[in-house]
Amino acid sequence: MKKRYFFLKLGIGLLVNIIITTVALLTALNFKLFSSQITMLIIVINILITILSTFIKYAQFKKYVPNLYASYITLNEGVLFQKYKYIPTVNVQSIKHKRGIVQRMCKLNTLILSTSGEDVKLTYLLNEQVAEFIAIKIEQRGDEYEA
Amino acid sequence: MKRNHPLSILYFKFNVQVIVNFVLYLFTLNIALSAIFDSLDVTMVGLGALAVLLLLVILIGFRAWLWYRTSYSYDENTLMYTKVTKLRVKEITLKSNKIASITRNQSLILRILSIYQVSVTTDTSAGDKNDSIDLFLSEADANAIIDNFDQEKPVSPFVAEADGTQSTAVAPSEAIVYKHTIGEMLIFPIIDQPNVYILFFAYIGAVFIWGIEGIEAGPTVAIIPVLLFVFGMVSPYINSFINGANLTLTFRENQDNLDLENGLLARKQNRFSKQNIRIFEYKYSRIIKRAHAKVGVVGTGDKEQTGEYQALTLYVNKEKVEMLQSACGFETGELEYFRPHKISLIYSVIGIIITVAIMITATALAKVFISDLLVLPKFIYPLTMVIIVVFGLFLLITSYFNYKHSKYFAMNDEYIVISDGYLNQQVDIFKYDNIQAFTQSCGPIARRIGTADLYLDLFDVGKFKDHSAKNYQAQDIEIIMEKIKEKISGEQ
Repeated sequence: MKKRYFFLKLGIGLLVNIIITTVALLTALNFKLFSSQITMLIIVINILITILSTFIKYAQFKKYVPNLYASYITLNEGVLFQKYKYIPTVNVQSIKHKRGIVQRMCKLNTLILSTSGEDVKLTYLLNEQVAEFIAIKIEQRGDEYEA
Repeated sequence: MKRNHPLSILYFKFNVQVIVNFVLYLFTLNIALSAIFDSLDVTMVGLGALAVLLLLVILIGFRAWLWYRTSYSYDENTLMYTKVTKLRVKEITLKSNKIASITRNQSLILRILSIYQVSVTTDTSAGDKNDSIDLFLSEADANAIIDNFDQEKPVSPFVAEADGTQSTAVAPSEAIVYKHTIGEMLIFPIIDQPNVYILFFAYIGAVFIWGIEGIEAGPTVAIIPVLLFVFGMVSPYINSFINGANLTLTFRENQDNLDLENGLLARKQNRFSKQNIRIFEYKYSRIIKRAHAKVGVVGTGDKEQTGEYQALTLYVNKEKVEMLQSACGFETGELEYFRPHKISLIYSVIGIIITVAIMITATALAKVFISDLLVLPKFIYPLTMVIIVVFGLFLLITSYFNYKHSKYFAMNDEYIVISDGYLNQQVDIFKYDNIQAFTQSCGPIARRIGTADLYLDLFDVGKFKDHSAKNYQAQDIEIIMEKIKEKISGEQ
């Protein structure tokens, strides 16, 4: 599911990129802003950059591992500069839950966790993971109020 | 049910918007009155005076109505407050255990009216926005409410000052009182604005090098650095005297509160709970042997200044820093120290070499391109080169001393200390519960040599920044992270 979502999102992004670039370049060619050789060169460079960024994004996607535990949340990300983020669940003040059309098709979610510091965004979370996490958080809050 | 002091009706907070509104209302009223008294023989001055009088009557009448409808009551556990604004009634019931601080202020106008502004502020540790209840009371009422919500019931220095008696409910330990001296107040701007002094001496040096040409350019050129120096220092000195004059910090070892009183014209009295002190920072200057300390207190009423935190700014020597650190609940106990990897020194050296190289290149380019436009003495370029090299060497030496003696990450069971900088050493001390999230990061070079960086995301605290420990041994970072995990979530 996660792979499906990743490739769908990437595919849509690539399609939009190709359409916008082609329209822009054809317009420029029409107004004789560039010669046809330069236009071709820009198209080739754009394709190369797109392929390279696709590989980097895929590598980043494979490294991206968010985990929700009872007492803390961890997030591994980054390929060259690897990051390991740790957020204690007790510090989460509010949870924002977002799902786009593509995410709904793939049964995935984005969670934005607000702490008293900065917000943390977690993507590629399955429905059941989110439901379980919210239940844990509500239970914790209940315990705090009882205490 | 009690009410604010009746004279509080006359207390207006003036700001640009209020003044503009007042002028607009006055203008409109004046036009209306001229239309009404058109047939009568009334002069413009008379109309203006009438308009001002009417406006004041309306304003004071409205405020008197608000005063009548606003009330408060309290017992040992609860403070109830009812406030009526233009259209709505606001009722607040505040439990005493949610009170973070009680502040007693007296601005110049309030001083004339013999009224104290008492601000009761809630704790923001739950991440909610803090709320403040502002009461305008006589001295006796202000002291009564402060002492009622003081959980440990220590003797209030304000009460002791007021009636000369002491409560016998608790035997407080001896009060430790800290006051700014005049000498310290004269030093404040040197710590706050060292750039002004550097600029001044750079100008003096330039005028000295320029010699006769500089003087021939006229007295205007020579006076510029002096004027810059004077104006540059005016603001810090005004700040230092307004905020630092008459500062008295009182605390007792066996009690939870810190009492702070400061201000030259307007007196401000704050009572803070040690529990609510989250951060203690100080910048220590080895040259003048003085420190500039900031204390971050959660949930105070000074929202406009620092968001949810208030920074108490104090200027002290090293011994007093330790005294304050202890007073703020950061007992100076045993610490486990972690030193940075030597790669951090290598990075600093590379940075300095690049900076010096850029400056030398810029000087060489200036010699080629500017020499035709501006005639300067011949020795100026080699002298600039020498100054840049000496400056680079100075940076290299201080970087080495910083790496060897000043830069460290230390922790114990209660708090974390991060220190950096040699001549101006910045030390940040904070409790574990301040940490909201933390991130370990390492790039390809760091992985190869076995180092890592640690970023600590703290409370979003306005005047206080987030902290990081860069270029430490990877295993040291692991130990630090394990300790933080254990302290925050009890995870082993």
